[in-house]
Amino acid sequence: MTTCRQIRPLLPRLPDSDLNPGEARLLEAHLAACATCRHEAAAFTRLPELLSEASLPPPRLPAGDQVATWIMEQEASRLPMSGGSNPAFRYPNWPIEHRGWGVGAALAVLLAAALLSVQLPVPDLRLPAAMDRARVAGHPIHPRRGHPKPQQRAAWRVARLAGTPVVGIAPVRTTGRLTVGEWLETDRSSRAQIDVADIGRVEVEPNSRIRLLETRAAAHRLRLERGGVRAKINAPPRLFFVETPSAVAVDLGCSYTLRVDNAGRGVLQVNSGWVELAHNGREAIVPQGALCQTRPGIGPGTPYFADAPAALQTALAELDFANGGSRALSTVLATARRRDSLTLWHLLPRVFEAERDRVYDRLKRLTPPPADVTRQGIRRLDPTLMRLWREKIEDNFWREEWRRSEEWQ
Amino acid sequence: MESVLSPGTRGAGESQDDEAMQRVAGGDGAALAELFDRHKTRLYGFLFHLVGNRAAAEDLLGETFLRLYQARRRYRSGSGFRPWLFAIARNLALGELRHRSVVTRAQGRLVDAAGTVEDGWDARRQEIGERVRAALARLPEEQRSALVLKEYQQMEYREIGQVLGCSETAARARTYRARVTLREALREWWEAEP
Repeated sequence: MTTCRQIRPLLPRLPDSDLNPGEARLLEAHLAACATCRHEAAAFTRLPELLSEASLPPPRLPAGDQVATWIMEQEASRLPMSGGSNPAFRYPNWPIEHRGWGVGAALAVLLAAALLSVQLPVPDLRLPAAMDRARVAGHPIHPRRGHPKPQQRAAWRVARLAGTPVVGIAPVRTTGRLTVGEWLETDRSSRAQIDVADIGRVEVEPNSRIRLLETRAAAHRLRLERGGVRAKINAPPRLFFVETPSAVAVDLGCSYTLRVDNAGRGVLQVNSGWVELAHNGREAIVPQGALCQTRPGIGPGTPYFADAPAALQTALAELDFANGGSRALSTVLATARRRDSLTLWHLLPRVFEAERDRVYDRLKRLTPPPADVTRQGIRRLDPTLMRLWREKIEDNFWREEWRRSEEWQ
Repeated sequence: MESVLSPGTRGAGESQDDEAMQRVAGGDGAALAELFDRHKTRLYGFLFHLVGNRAAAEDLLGETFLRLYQARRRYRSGSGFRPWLFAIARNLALGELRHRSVVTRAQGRLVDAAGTVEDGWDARRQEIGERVRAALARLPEEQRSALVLKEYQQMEYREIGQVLGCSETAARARTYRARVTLREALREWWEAEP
């Protein structure tokens, strides 16, 4: 009979089930006669089962599409902390800040169910938070200095308006919190309202996906991936930003509606005040009553008033997004009213120099430029002269708005 | 412990990974998302066992996929996606531990983390989990990685060797020693078990 000393080395291999027939026969014969080795063999056989009991804290892992977007943004922007050449790179806040467990019974059920599996029982619990860490307030980027200490992540109050909006994967029954980095999603039957710190409110329309990027005294920033928001902000200009796939809306003191479709195309409609749209150096200043389309890869088009002639709107879309040529420009110039002066002003830097004189001439007839503004200056897009002319257009616009409101009353 | 996946399924998964990596190499974000979703949970588990901290494991998971994306053109189809992915993760985790020079502290955290399981957890399961995790945490890193890859990831020894940068035989030996060490670490508690 084989001795215990000969048999013991075989036991740690039992979980692999890879003993050859000879080894298996020796083991079987020995175990039949040796209670100590039987006990030991049972221990090794049970080891995988025990390991499966070593459950882990549930991770807060983002969805793949969010990670992919984030990674590709990192790569595109090549921020200094984006790894690559710096092997000591660290994420201060990649998925989510430490907020304790707090998911309660549902979590326990999920984990208990997962325990029955031999896989690591680590169900996803939360959608991501601060992947966009470069902009997360209060979390400076350090090259691998270890993890930041847990700290309270700023959050905005979310209230359900209809249906069941979701923050992360947590449904908002009445009210909830949207922390920096988290997504709020509404389906076709749900709406939500977000308190933008203490400066205003944003109503999130159905079928929307929106994320809080940062909130601090100097800037509050949302990302609207799709859907629509109605924002009403009462704050100094340039405190509130909404990023979309095709432009950033910069609040200049206003209320507005911003919608983005699944292809990233957007449209801004300003209800009161002004909003600036910007993307890659291309800007549009959109006053109340006006709209502006945006397109991925292009940015904001030329703003126009909702009551502008249909022919002007169509021609403008051709110019902005469909390589419209001289004919489209002619249509815009021919159909523009005095009220459309701001539209023409936006066209000045967007047309080729050869066409700029045509825009200048038409705009001059609709809103004569201030005395100091010359054709030559506008031809070379002198910033001061451009600003002076725009201010005159804006003055006229507000006088007209005031007159309209007086008539309406 | 054998894989719950049939060899056919496993092969299909590998070819899916290869196909996705080809798309990732072409800059396809959807393929990157697909790979992340497919591997995130297991990779998180592996990283947690290495660094002993949820936040660190979550961070390293993201970092792993960022590195994967940066190295996407260096991946060779058929060379084994999972070992490649886990090797990236392990290297990052070891870098993390080296950076802090706190391998022992990380092991301590692993032991501490044993007490962080949620309230309402079955007390006995919790105790088992705590003891096993603490015992795992005390294993030398190479043994711990080998055992975790074998038992939790159901990797073949050949794949484990690829992750750890050693031969198949060495991977087998490390797993073997890990089991022996773990058995000894749990002996006292085990013997007291009814």
